[in-house]
Amino acid sequence: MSSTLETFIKNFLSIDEKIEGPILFSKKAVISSNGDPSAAIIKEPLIMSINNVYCINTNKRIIFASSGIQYDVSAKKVDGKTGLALGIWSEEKGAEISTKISHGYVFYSILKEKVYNIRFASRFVSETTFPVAQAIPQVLATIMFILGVLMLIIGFMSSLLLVLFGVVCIIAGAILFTVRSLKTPQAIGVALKQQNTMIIVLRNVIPERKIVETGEKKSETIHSKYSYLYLHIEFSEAVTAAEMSELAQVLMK
Amino acid sequence: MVVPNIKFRKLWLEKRREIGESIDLKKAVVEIRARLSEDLVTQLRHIGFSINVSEKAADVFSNIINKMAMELLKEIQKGEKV
Repeated sequence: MSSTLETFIKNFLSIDEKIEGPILFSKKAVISSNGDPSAAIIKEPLIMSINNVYCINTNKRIIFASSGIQYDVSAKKVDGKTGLALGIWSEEKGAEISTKISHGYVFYSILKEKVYNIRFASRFVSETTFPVAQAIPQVLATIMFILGVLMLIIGFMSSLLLVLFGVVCIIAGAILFTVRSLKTPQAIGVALKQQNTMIIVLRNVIPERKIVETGEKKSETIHSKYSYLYLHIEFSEAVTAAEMSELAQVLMK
Repeated sequence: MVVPNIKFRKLWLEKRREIGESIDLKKAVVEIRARLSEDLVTQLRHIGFSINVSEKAADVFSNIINKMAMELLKEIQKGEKV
C-alpha cells in the first residue's frame, strides 16, 4: 500500500482505532444485507459492489479504500453485426471494447460490531478455455464428387479410363464425406493464478428505544434486534494463502 | 495428433506488479498503454480475431488511451491550479 493511501486512511481513523491484520488488495467487494448468516451465504439483491480497492480491517470497521490510478479494459463479442464494415468489406466478427482510467480516492467504511461468520477459499488455480471442432473435408469431397461426375460424363463419350477415374473420384468423394477429424486452435493461453474469495458476515445490534414519560422525558431500550451485513470479497491474484489466513484469523478473534 | 502451443500467464506475478500503486499519471501512461494493449490483444484473440487484426486494434486503442489519459491529466492539473 502506498504511503499516500496510508496517510489518507489515517485521517479517518478515530483515536482508539487501530488497523488489525494485513491490508489486502481486492478486485471486487460486494455488499449485501441479504443472505443466510449461519452458512455465510450471500443472496440477491446485492446492495453495491466496489472494484479495485484495498481492504483494511480495524478494531471498529472494515474499510475499502484506494488511491492513485486504476485502469481496466474488456472486449466483448458482439452478437450480430456492428455495421462498421461497408463497401467491399463484409463483417466476419465484431467486438465492443470498454476501457476506463481513473485517478483519485475511494473510501468506504462499514461498521463492525461482531464478525458473526466467515468463509474463505484460497487456492492456486490453472485455468483455460479453448474451442475444439469436429470437421469434415466438405470442400475437398464436393470437388472430388463434381470432378468424378464430369469425368464420368466425358468418359462415356470418349474413354473407358476416364469413366474408371470418374467412378474412383465419386467413391473417394463419398468416403471423404464420412471422414470426421478433430480441429484444435494453434495456441492456447493458460492462466496460472491465486484465487482468493472471502465472505464475512457482520452482525450489528440495533437497539430499539421508546420514550418513557415519568415526570421527565427519558428514553429506555426495550429490546435489540440484529442486523446482518454480508461482504463478498474477491481478493487479487497477488494475495497469498498465508495473507488470507492471517486476515481470517484476525477477523474471527 | 497436433498438440496446440500452450502459453502460460503467471497472473499472480503480473498482478503483484500492478498493485504497486502509481500516483503520477504522467509517468504511468506508458505502462497503462502497454498493459491495456496487451490485455486487449489477448481478449480479442480469445474472441477469435486474427493476430494481425488484434494488433491493429491495439494500436488504435493505444492512441485512444493516450488521448484519454492526457485529457484526464490536463483536467487534474487544472484542478490543482485552482
